[in-house]
Amino acid sequence: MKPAPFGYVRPSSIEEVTTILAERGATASVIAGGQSLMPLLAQRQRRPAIVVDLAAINELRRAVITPEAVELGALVGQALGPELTEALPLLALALPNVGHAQTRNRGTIAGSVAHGDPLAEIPLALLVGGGEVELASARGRRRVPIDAFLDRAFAPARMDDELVVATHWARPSPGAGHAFLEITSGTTVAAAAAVVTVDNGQVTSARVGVIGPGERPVCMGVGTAPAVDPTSRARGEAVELAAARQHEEVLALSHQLATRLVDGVVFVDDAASDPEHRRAVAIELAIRALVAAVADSADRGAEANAARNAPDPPLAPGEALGADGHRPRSPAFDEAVEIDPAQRVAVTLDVDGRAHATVIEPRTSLTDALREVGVTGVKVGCEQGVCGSCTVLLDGTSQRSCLVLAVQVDGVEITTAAGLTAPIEELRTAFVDHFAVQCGFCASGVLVTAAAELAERQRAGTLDSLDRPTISRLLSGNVCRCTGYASMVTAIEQAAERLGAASAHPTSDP
Amino acid sequence: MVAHTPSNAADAPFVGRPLPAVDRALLDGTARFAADTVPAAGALELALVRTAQAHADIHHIDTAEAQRRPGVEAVMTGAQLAERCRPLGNILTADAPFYPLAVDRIRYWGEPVAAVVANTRALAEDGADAVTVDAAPLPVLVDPVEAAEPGAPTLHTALATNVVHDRSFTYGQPDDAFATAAHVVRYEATFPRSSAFPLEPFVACAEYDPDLDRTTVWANYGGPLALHAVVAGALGVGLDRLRLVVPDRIGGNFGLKQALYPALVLVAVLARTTGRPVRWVEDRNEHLVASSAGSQRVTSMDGAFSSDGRLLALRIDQLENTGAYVRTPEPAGLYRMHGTLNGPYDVDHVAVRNRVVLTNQVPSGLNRGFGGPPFFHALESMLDTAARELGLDRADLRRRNLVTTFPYSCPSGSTLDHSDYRAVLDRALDLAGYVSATDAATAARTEGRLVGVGLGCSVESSGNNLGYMNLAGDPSLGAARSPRSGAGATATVAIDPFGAVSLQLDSPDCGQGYRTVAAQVVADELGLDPSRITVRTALDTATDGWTLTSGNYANRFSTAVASAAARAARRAGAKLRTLAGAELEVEADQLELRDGQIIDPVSGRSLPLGRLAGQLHWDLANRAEGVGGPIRETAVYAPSELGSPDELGRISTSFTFSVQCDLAIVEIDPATGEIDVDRYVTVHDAGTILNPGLFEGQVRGGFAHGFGAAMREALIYRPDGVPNARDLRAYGPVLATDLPPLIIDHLVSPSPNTELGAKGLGDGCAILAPTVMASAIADALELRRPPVPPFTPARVWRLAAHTSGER
Repeated sequence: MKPAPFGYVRPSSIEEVTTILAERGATASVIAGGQSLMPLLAQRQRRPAIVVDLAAINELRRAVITPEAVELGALVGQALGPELTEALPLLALALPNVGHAQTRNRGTIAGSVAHGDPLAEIPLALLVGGGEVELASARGRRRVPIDAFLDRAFAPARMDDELVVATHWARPSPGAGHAFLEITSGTTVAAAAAVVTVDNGQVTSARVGVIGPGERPVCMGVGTAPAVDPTSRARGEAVELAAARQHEEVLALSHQLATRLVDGVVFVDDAASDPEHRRAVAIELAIRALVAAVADSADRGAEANAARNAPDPPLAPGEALGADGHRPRSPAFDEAVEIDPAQRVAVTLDVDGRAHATVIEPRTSLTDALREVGVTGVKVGCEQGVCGSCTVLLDGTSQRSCLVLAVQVDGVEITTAAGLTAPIEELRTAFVDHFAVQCGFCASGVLVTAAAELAERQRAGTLDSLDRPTISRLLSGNVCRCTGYASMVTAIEQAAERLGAASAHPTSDP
Repeated sequence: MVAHTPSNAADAPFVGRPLPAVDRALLDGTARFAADTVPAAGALELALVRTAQAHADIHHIDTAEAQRRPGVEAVMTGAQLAERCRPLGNILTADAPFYPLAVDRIRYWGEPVAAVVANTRALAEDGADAVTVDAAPLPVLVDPVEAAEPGAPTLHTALATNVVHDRSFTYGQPDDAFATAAHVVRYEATFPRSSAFPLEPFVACAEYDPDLDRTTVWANYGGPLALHAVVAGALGVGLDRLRLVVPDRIGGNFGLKQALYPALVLVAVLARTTGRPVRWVEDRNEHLVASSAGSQRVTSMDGAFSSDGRLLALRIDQLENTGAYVRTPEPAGLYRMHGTLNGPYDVDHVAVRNRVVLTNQVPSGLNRGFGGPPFFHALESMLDTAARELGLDRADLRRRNLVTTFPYSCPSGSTLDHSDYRAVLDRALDLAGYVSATDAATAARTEGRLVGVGLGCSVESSGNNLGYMNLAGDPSLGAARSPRSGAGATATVAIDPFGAVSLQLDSPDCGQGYRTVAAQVVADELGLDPSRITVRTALDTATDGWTLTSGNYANRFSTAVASAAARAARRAGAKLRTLAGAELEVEADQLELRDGQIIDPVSGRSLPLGRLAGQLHWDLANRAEGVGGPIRETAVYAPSELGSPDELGRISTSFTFSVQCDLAIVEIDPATGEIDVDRYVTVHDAGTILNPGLFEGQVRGGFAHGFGAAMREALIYRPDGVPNARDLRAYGPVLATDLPPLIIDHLVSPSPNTELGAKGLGDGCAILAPTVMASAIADALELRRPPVPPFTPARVWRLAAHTSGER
C-alpha cells in the first residue's frame, strides 16, 4: 500500500501556494496536518500530481481571539491549548471524538473542514457554533459561511485554485451551554452538537446539528443566531421558540428541533450503520445534546456571572496563539523548488539522537523511510493511520509515522521506542510485571504513546488524574490483538503511580 | 566434588508460577519480525494485481505497459503461473483447482490475477496499476444457501454443483429419540465471518539456489507443517528441495497464519523464474479482504428433550461456506468439533450432516477457536430456545444436562477427560450473581429498561487429532487413504560442553509466551532456574526436528508440546543421574537435581551439571555405561488414544478438553442500539495452569477476540460480492475503550492425558463470547431465539424496535 508518485513543494507564503494552485488546480493536493489526506494517498484513492505542503508558512499557525470571534489559521492543530479550549467550548467538546491522540497531535482544524468528510466532527462544531471559512486564491480572498461551504461530501465549496487559509469561529455568549455527543461502532454512527442560551431560566436561543447525513452535517436553530453567521440556513421552516423553562418544555423543544432537523435528509450507509438507524440515532442524540446543553448552561451561568465581575479577560484581543508545531528546520533541499515525482531527494532523519542521511521519493512515508535506514523497531501495521504500530514522537508529541511524509520531517527530532528516555524504565518494568506484552508487534507504538503521556503529565503534575478510563482513551489509538488491553492499562496505571510517588517524595536531594 | 549445601531457593516448582515473559527487545523497541529480518539484500518486492470484480471470466490481461514501468523486473499472470505449478491440494476430490492467482476466472472480490515484482514495493504497485484486466462479469453468488441450491450457476465450470462435500453421520439412534421425545426444539442461524487479524500481516520471501536446486522460503507461518508438504506438492518438489524458515517472533496469529498461504507458492515460482529473492509483505487492506476469514456457517440445530429437560438427541445440519475455493486445511473447520458434537452435555444420540459450499467470497481459513464459534453459538442458542419453550431456567437446563461422570465417551468419538462441569457452571453463576442478576433484570424490564443476562457453556478441544481430516475425504476411498492420527510433538533438550541448556520446540511462538513456559517446565525437571534455559521456537525444516503435525495451532502447546519438552528434559535429567551415579557410586534414581547440581541426598555429595554434561563432550570414550553420547535428547509426545476414524465415522478429535462457562450482564439503549456490558464472567477448568500470568493473558486476549466478533468485527459481503469493510477503519477492530470489565476464575482438574496435567485455554472466550452476548441480548429484548452477531448498534436497535411491539 504505497501512494502513486507525486511531486512535492513547500512554499513559504500564501501567495506562492495560490500561484501553484492557479496553475495546477485539481491536480494539486494541499497538505496541512495530512491526517485525512495521507490514508487516501496510501490507498491510491487520491493521485495528485503534486502535494503542496503548508508547513513553512508561519502566518498560518496564528490563532487570534477577539471578544466576538476566534480566527484559526490553517495550521492550527487539533490539540488545543487552554486559551482556545476556553474560547471555543463546543470545539473543545468535539475534539476528543476526532481520530485519536496521535492524529490530533498533527491534524489541523482547517484541514478537517476543508476535507469535507460528512462524518467529521469539526465541521459540525463550526456549523453549530457558527462561523466562516476564509479562502485565498490568486484572484483574492473571500469568506464563506460554513453552511454554504459545506456542500457535498468530500467536495466543499472551494474552487480548485483556492486555499483554505483560516476558519473563523463565533464565540458563544457568556453562559451559553454546549454539548457534543457521539455514537460509534468502529467508526462514527452519528453525533450531535448543541449550543443554547438561557436567560432567566428560559431558553432564548438554541442551535443543534448532527453528523450522519450523507452529504454534510445539518443544523438548525431558533432564537438569536450567532453573530458571525447571519446567513445560517435553518432546515425546514422556522420553529416558534417555545418558552422552555421546565425540563418537559426543553424536551418538547428539542424533539421539535431534532425531528425537523433531519426532515428529508438522506443518511450515510456504510459498515458502521445504515441510513435508517443513523436517522434514529441522530434524532435521539440531537435531543440529548440540547437537554445536556441546557444543563451545561445552568452551570456556566454561574461562571459567567462571576466572570462579569472579574477583571479583564485573560486574553487581549488579537493575541497570537499559534503553536510552533512540528515544522521542518534547515532542510537539506530547496523547499521552494518543486521536487518531481520521480526525483529522489536527500533528507536527514534525526532519529533517537542519531542523524541518518538518506535519499527518498516524495511519496515515501516516514515509516518506510525509517525502516529503510534500519530503524525497524517502527512497525507497519496498516499504513492508513488506524493501528498505531508505527507511532513515534515528533518533537516530543506522539504521531503516526505512516501519516507523515519523510520529506516533511527533515530536521525534526524523531524518537522511537528505542530512543525513549524517562519514564520509559518505569513503563518497561510495569509492562513486564503485568504481562502486558504478548506478541509485541504493537509494543513499540504503545510504549511511545504511553511514555509521551506520562512525561507530559509528570511535567504538568497531573499524574494523579490518569485513571483507567483516561488510559483506555489514550490507548484507543493503538490496536492490540493479543492482550485485550486490560494488562496494558494496568501497567500504565502502575507506572504512573510509581512516577507520581517518586515526584511527591523526592528521595535524593534534601 | 563439592559438599552440597541446601539452597535457599523455594522448593515449589516453577511450573504454576506467574513468571513474566520477558523479551527485552520488544520493550526496547528493537525487536525484529519477519519483515525486518528477511530477505537477503537484493530481494525483489511483489505486488499483486487485484480487480474490483467478484465473479468474472478473464478474457485478456495486458501486462505490456507494466513491464515498461521503471524498476519492474517481471510480471506474471495466473495463466502463466499455472504453467509453472500445480493447483494447491486439499482433502476433497472436487474439481475446483485453486492457484495462487486466478487463471481463467475471478471468483472473489480482491482475488489476485497477476503478480508484479520490482525493485521496491512502491514501484511494484506502480506496475500493478498499469496492468489492465478485461474480464466479463458473471452473476455473483455470495449467499451459501442460494449457492447450494440445485441448478445454481457454479463457480467452477467442471462442477455440476457448488456443494463440494456432503456427508452424513449417525451415532446411536437419533431418529428413535426424536420420534419419542416430549419436546423437539429447532434453532437455525447463519453465523457470520470475521477476521483473525493478527497485527503483523503475512510475510513470505523465497530464494532459489540453483547449486542445491533448493528453494528457501522464509515466512511467519505458524504451522501445521502438513501444509508445508502441500506447498511442496504444488511446486512439484520434494521436501528436501523446499526449506521453510520460520522466525523467532511472529506478530500474532489466531489461526490466520495456520492456513495455506498461496503466496508461499507464488514467491517460490517467481524466485525461480527471476533468479532473485522475491518477497511479499501483505498489506492491511489485502489482508482484510483477500487473506482469509473464519467461515460463514448455516446451521440447523435440533434438540430432542424429555419432559424434564434432558437432552436426548441432537440433529445437526451444517452448511459451511468456504468461499471461492477449498483452501487447505479447510474444510477442517467443519470437523474440528466432530468428536464432541454433544458439547459439554451428556447426549446419547447424534446425527449430523455436513456440507461445504463454494461462493464468491474469499476462501475461508482459521480463526481463533477454529470451528467453535458457529458450532457453540448454534448449540447454546438452541438450549436457550429450549429453556424458554420448556419454561425452564437457562442455567438449570444446562445443569441437568452437563456431563457428570468422567471419562465420558461422546457418541461421535471423543473422550472428555476428568473435570467437574457442574462446579464450573456454579462458580460462574456465583461470580456473576446469576440469581439476583436475573431477578434484577426481570424487574428492570417491567420498568421498561432492557436488561439481560446471558450465559453459555463449552468444551475446548486441545491437542488436535489431524486424523479428523479423513472424515472430510471421500469415504469410498476407504482403506486406500492412508491412516492419519495423532497430534505428535517433538522437543529436544541439549546441554553444551559448558553446561548451557537449550530447548528446541516444534511450535513457533506467536506471542503466547511459549519460551517462558517451556523454560519453567525444563527448569523443574533439571533443577535449574528458568533463566538458565534458552528456548528456541524459530524453525528451519532443513535442520530442526519436525513432523507434519508440528506447529502453533489447536491448543497444542500446553498439551502436546509442553509434554514433549517435559519428557525430553526428563531424559536429559536421567542421563545426568546416570553419569553422577556412576561417579558417586550410588543408584541413579536416588539422586536429586537442584540448583545446577546432581545431589546425593544421603551423603550430601554433589556434582555440577556443567561438569557432567561437559564430560560427555570432552571424554566420550570413558562415558558411563548406557549413556549414548552428549546430552541431546529428543522426545516425542503422541497420545495413543488418538486414532483414525473408525467405520462409523467416530473420531477422537482431541486428547484433552477444557470446560468453560461464561455469563454477561447487559443493558441495551433502545433509542440507539448501544449495549452497555455491566460485566462479563468467565470460568474455566483448563487443568493445571502452567503460568497464571500467561493464562490470564490468553483469557483476556481470547475474550477481546470473541467480544470484537460479537460486537462488530464481521466480514460481510454485499449481494454484489463487495465486502462492506475494505479498509481497517471500516472493519473497526476492537479497541481499549470497547471492552467491559472481565471477571476471570478457574478450577483445576489436571488432565490425565498430558504430562503436566494441562489442558488448552487459548480459544475459550473467543468461542463463547459471541453466543453469550447473543444470549444476553435475547434476554434483554425477550426474544424467542438468540440473534446472530455482529451486535452493532444498528442491528441491536432494529432488534429492539422490532420486538418492542411484541412486548
